[in-house]
Amino acid sequence: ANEIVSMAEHIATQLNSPAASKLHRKDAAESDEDNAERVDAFRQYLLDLGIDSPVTRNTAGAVFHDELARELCDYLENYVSQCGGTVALVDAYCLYNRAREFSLVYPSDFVQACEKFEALQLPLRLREYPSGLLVLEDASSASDALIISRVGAYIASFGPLTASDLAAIEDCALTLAEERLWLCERAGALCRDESVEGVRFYANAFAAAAAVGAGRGEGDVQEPLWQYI
Amino acid sequence: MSNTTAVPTPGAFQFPEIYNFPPLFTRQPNESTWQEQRRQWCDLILAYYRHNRLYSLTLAEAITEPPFTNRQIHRSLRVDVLRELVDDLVKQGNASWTGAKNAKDSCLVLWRKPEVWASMIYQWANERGLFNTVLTVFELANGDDTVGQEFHNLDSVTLRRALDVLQSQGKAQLFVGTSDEDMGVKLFA
Repeated sequence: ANEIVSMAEHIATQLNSPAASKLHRKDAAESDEDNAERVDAFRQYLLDLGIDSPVTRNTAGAVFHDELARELCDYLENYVSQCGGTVALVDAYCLYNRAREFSLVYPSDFVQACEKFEALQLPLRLREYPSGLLVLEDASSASDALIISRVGAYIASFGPLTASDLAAIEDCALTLAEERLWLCERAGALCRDESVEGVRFYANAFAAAAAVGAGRGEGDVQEPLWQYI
Repeated sequence: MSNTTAVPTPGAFQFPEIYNFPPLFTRQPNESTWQEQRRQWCDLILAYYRHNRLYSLTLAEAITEPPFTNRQIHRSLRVDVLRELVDDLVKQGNASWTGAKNAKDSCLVLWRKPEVWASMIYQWANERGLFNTVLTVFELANGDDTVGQEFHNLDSVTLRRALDVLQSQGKAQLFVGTSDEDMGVKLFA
């Protein structure tokens, strides 16, 4: 296996060489364009094949988790973006370990490395939802306020949403869609309707009603006319 | 279910807009949302019961009918949520559990507090010069002399509560007969 890894490394070095990058220059010949496509395709195959020199305790020693964190971010950043900014931790773990193939990472090491993202100022974040679901998020684009305003906009356009409606709109996992709706509910932006048809989320009309009623005094329900003895 | 003892106020009850909002019928997990929801329900219950001159409710039966069932939107309030709402009304003095102790399956809806009913009755007695005469509770509720008064045809349990208030204030004396209808009361200054 190590032979394959070193062969892949060798090819990767060649692909990254100045000769290979010439193929992408504007003044390259037409036949070179075909070659450029092939080079790109080959690069993608290598990526799918695996990581060329994975970080292990042997290679990194004491700073293992830091280095692992950097490697994780490198590998997962694009994938997380493509998935709309959030990925379930288990999915990320499976993907990453499959790429490492022969020197797998323990789940505990994986999680510890993810916990270092913020401290190392890497572009991903590990987040735990109240239900216990762990996700990796794009540090920049997944803030709560953005989720709340996005979901609010969907409801304004499409009407009240179920979790599967939201999962279809955002092309994300059902559990993630649920978490987003519950997040909006906790923030008071949405309220729920439970029926035999399932759970559907509406814009929070109660909050609007409360705002209107804020100026109302106590005791308006009682008739003001009668005196107590 | 509920005691209807008088002709309802003319005109159908006007439900608030939020009555057709399906989430109204689901107990909201968000605490501040629930606070507003329960306020809307308590207002609605008292207004509905006042409009229709209804005085009591049995929870298991009530949830199958308006206002706790809205047939237009196919939603019903759950009985445990209604129980929570009645507990709130009890806290604010607008309801009172009846029936078996701690069973919490039936209650009086006091859209007008017994003290207020008491005050009305006392005022009427004063105006008619009826202090120091014995009246039957029956004629107080249903007699010709009380036609046009708010407490005319008042539900008997609620009326009894009002008279108890007067008695505790030293403004009346109750005489127990063989049944509530036989009961007598004497009011004094």
